Amino acid sequence: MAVAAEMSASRHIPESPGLWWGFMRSAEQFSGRPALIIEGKPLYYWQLREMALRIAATIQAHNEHLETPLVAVFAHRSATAFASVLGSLLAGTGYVPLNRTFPVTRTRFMFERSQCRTIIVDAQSLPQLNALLGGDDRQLLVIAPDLQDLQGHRQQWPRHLFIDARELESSAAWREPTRDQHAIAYLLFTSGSTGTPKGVMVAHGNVTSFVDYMADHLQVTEQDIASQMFDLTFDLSAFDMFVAWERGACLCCPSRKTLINPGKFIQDQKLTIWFSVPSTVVLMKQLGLLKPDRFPSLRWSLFCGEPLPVSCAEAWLKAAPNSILENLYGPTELTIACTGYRWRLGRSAAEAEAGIVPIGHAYPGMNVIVVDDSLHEVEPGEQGELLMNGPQMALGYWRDPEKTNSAFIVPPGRGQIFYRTGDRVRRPVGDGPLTHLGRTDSQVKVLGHRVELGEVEAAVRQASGMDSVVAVGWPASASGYGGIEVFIEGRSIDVDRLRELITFQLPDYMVPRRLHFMNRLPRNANGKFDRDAMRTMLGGGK
Amino acid sequence: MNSPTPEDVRRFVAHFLNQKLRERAQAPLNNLPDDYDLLLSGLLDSLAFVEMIAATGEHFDGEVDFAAIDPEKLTIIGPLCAFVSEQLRDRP
Repeated sequence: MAVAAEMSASRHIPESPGLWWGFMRSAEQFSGRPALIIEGKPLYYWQLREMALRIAATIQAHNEHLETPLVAVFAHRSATAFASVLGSLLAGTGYVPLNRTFPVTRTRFMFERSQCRTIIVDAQSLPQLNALLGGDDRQLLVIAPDLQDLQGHRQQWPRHLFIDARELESSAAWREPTRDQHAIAYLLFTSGSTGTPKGVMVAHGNVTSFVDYMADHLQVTEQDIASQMFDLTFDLSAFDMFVAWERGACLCCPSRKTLINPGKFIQDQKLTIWFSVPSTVVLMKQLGLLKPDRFPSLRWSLFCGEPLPVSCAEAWLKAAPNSILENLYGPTELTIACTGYRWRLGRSAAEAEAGIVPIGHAYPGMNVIVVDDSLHEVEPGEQGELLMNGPQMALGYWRDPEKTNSAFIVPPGRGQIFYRTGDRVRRPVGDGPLTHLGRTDSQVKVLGHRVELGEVEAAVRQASGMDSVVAVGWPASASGYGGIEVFIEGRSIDVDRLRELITFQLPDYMVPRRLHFMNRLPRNANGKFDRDAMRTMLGGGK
Repeated sequence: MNSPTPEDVRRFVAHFLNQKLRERAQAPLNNLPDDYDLLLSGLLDSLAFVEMIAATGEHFDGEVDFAAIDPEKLTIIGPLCAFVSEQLRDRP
């Protein structure tokens, strides 16, 4: 079967009562099986359901406090974190994940911006709670499901209502929420180009559409054990949770210590589904952890969030020879992932461009157009900006119509709203896959020339054999930049030889002025390369 | 270079950590007790820990086999220094 046809086989989208429905069905059917392994301990479906229902009933009992349909979940890699996500959904509210590993000023911004009046906090996030409560003169409902004594907080914050573990409502008090596929399931903050995070509103229908397709596509069963590598503040965590729980599978959450050696985690837990950012593969490859046949238990190897180098895909498949590798692509605004590419031996290397695995074909129901600067479709084989719409297109940005209107647009002659991804792709010829070429905003002017930083990165990657390469414009000038500097992750190699090889491929103005070798390139909270931090290292911020 | 002793590894680790602390404009560590957990103390995250091990191998002109690392023990200074020293001593 042709790849495109395989990817776009029609999918059945049942009218689900909400994103929580798949979990509840599995909890009924597989109540004695583990839903979650956390810190090495199993939490069975019946236990997680009981915890989630008690949280949901507690939110519902105080819902007169709710001005917005959102509940903040200030919890991280704990049973309370996962039960709170489910509890929020079961209460009929969306969840806003907050992360104690973020700078507290950023967490406070997200909390205040979301206007949540209910916050669920786990024991380990409690020390930061005061910083969030301090700036709020409204009454808040604070639920602490794994704490027994909140006396100190009650005394310090008399205007807020605190509920500890002993005061949670009974699960029998839970009432099924109103069914609304357009209600917000989660609000996730992504980096904005202005430096202010934007809250993306993702609806129940967006996520159930994705989850239904993926659970079928991956043929997930109750025998599967899936990795849980993503923090809740990264939307790929929604894949982890809801695809696994849809079919009674077990979600395996590594501790911070386990993250040091992901290979051991896969082996010890006998994972069958792996999902991570490609950076994890790059790191494991550098550390020599991808030995042949090291991960025989894996049947799916999925990657998303940033470009996947061909060399990493090949090395991974040698280590996980029984698995099918797919490279997924998707901005938060299109709900987790909206295109996928299956690696095929003997064919995929030729379909890759600039050493990067293609992003493949749109998921069923999702529509793709590739446009030029005037938003008109380019010819097959040409490059342009990727625009998409379909059942996974999010509702827009939380209480920000201006940003919503500039990103969700109607291209000339289309009559339908599309989301502008800001990603540069090549429009496929015939049945070929989409290839990702970089960001549209990665185009800079150097000494008057238009330069695609992705092209410089590809040339350096090819010449150096290194997987992690980032180019930035530097120094800033009135018309753009005076040149280009490149950061490379790995040990220093023969720079003169490398420069010679690059010079064969690039015109003078694109040849990097300097090559910086680092053991580890700066990354942001989601594990993606942090270009701003690299510019700051060069001495002048953005 | 001769095989490093656990004490040599500890000195390098202390140097590495203090460099990190200087970058963050934080006060240097005065001592590194055997039971100090680099991860749970919040001093390093998992990626920075991996980076530190790689830098240690590079400094002593050897390689540490990550597959052999038990993450539960080896973020603690005493066992870490003993393990790395042993790994670098066994090199061909």
